[in-house]
Amino acid sequence: MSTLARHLNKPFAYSCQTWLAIDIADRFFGGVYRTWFSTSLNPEKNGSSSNPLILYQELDRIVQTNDYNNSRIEQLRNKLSNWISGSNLSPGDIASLLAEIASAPVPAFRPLLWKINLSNIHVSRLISLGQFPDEYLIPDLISNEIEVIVA
Amino acid sequence: MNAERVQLFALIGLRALAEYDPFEYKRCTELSKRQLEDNIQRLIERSGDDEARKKFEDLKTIETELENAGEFSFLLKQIYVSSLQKAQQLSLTFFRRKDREGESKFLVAKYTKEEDRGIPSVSEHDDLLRLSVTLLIRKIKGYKPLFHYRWKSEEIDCLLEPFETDLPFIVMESKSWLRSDSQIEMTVDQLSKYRRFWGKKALGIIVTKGIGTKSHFQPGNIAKNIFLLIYDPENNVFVADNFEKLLTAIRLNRNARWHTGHDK
Repeated sequence: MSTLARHLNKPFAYSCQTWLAIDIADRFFGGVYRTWFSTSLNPEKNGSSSNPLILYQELDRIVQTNDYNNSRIEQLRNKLSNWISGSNLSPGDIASLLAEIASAPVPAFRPLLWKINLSNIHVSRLISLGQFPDEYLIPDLISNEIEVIVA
Repeated sequence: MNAERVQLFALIGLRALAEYDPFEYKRCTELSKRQLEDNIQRLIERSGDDEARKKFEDLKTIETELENAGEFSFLLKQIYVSSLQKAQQLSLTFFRRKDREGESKFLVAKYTKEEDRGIPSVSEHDDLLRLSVTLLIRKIKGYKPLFHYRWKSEEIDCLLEPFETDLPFIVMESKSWLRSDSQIEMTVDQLSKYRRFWGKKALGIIVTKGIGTKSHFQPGNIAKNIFLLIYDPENNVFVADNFEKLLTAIRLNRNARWHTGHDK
């Protein structure tokens, strides 16, 4: 069977997601997550924003210090807004979520570290992003396919 | 201003992103550039929004006419950022206006959606209670708060014990949201029961972040010696100030006789 584990030659993958992103996915996308991941917890050749470990550490510190001027928060607001804008939600939902994201306080960006079992995922669901060597995307991950290892 | 206008500027921003950072664009959406442009054109035609039309024309001009890569990237990023910011600004204005127009009487703390899922958040509920009580005792003065006061087999959210013996006791219950009249009536019954223990002149206060749109209750004096206060935790204020009535009730109920307050 063409599993991602065979294709990438790794049993697990890792991702760092914010609470707000998951909450929005739960409420508006039926618990289906558009998720990036890497096959290593600390992929050295990826940028910081695509390194689960660094991203977790960074966000955890930002949240604990309520560092609302940190550029990472602004970047995450924009990323979430882009995801919502490019979705097939209604204009009313899009406007509502953009307002929600724009006004979300720093604790809404608290990080969760995910472990994804690649043995359960078919290779056809994989999208290779191409910017960093160890960064991939699954557009339709569901909660059964992930394990929150640090919250 | 409407939701489609918000979406329009957001899509123009996304279209600019697709050119200047295609990797990030791919992370966000599966829409092709063609689909995106079709959506933008449709929304421009429907809304007749000149500002959006001009922004989209600028984007197309940059794409077709500029050859300097640095300049190209810089200007597209400007279009992306300004369009997204415009969408964010419009969305916030749109929802503030909707709230003002009375489409929702809720003071929506939109980032805490546990309430919408029906899962009460303990810490949020406790924050509402503590913050509102702190504000209240600064205004009415002469009271010491006893949080989560055990009374018989029940727990009262907060008992305000007066320093002066002629002031009435105040029992408080906090509810994150009061969505229905029956919920308000049940809380009133509960407070009436507590009040009786501290004497006829004891007062009851229900504090909440908002009441349902169709509620017949208004903030203020909702039953005999029971007050409903709406607290806005973001701005640390009581909405629709009803303190005059509450202060009057406290004055009228001075010289009340009560239990010691520690008879459990």
